[in-house]
Amino acid sequence: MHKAEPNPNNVSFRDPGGQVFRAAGRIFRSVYPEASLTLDHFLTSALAGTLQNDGKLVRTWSPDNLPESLAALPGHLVEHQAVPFPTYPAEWCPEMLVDAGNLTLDLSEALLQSGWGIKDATPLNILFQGPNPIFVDLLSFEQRSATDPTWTPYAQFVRTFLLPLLANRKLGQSLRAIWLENRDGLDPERLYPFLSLGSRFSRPALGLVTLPALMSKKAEAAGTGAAQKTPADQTTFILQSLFRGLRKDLARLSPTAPQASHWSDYADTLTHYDATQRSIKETFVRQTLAELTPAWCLDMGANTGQFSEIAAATSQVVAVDYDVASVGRIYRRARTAGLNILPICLDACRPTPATGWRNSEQPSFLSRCEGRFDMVMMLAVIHHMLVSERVPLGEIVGLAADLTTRHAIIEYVGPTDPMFRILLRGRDALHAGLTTQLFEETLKQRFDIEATCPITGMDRVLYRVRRRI
Amino acid sequence: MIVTKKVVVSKLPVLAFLLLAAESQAKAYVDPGSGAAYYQIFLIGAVGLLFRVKRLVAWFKGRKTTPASHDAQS
Repeated sequence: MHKAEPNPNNVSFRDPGGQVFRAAGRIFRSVYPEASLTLDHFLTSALAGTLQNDGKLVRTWSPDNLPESLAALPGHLVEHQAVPFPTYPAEWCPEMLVDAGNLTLDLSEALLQSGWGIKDATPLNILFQGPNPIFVDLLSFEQRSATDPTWTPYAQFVRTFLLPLLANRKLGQSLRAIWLENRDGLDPERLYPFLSLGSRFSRPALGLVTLPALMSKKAEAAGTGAAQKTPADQTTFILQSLFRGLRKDLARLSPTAPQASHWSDYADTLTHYDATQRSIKETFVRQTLAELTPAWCLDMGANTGQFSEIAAATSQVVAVDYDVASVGRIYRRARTAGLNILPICLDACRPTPATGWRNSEQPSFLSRCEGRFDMVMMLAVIHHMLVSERVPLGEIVGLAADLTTRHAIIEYVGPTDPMFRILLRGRDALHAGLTTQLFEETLKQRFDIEATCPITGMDRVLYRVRRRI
Repeated sequence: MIVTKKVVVSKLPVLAFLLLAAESQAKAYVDPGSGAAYYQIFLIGAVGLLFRVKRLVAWFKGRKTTPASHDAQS
């Protein structure tokens, strides 16, 4: 079998059929001869065209003008449509994992009708473009026998979609913690001891956890065997039934809409802004964005996405918040209204690290941000970093400057602000020296201040700043 | 012996048992040792049995159409 030599541009290498490389902002896949024929066959099928046109499958073509660094790669090269800001399951809200699971089942059902199937079913095969999931693992497709009733990736689908959702829903485990620790999801045997007796024998845990856990010893003893063939019509019936059952399990494990948390209701229940103050802030942000028309906007501390929505009118937006319920609200709204917003569950003070083999398979959040955004919004967020996280002001401004290539809108929140005081909890002396003057001096170390907008009656000021080259 | 519908109906439980037993021999999965994969074999057997029963019922009713799919886990 041909294998590519280690290459710093390599972003995916576990597939025995080929590897994926990023070079010059483009995405290439080197396909080994044993997989090349199958891929070509699939890509020339009508189904592949339909799936690509529907936005469910990443667009793929034969490349020209290859970057020099990839010229010596073995195997057949194809180029994929680049998903500009990849995110990973550790950064998704439960709603996103549910939709990624449904896309996997959509594809599997469509493929079944055409004599094709997928080899694996994991969220790692899926990326999000804005709020829309897209399947990117082209080497997952294989022709399947019309008389084989087994869905090969069944157990993996359960481990990587359903059981993380179940652990999140029933046990309160965060998807972030699950995915940062478990590349291939959760085993039924691992979850079983933590479920209550009632949960173990109710849906969907009975079929997803209890019975598989009880059968695991028998499975170990049985080992692998040959597939028992069934007539084609029976096979189709079985697989369609299986997919519908899995879809129902996904629905049962979806967050009950809409989830509420302290922060998800924050924008709706704001009492520290009156209508005028809210209008001043919104007008300043709207006018700044309309004037600058940034291509890519990063909204740090997006809450429920009030300002992300304004930005989405002119930009592609990545909306970041650590509150899962808030991110779920942004995601649902973006899906429903067709907004160009990619929501991410992430704590800006502890952003997603690089993970995987040699920390190279899934790059860190900050490295994915490099050079991507020409606008960063940090609205009503710096006091959380300053007070709750004890991050120095200079570091916060430095982060904003590193995240944007051009502009930022930053909201100063002073120590007399009621929300600042709630966070202080008696530690007033620590931030007694924080003033607009100090804030502006710190800003000027990395930015030019282009406009300011004090919010009347509040210890808050909005700044439009431009990064110094 | 004349096979009437009454005779066939009386033998249905035996037929169902035989069909279920036959399906339970399927052992194809990619995760050896995985309880979930093994559980899928159980599902395939159960849904396969349902398919055959439905077809038998359809035959009794004089229809030869393929039954509509049902949810494997519901």
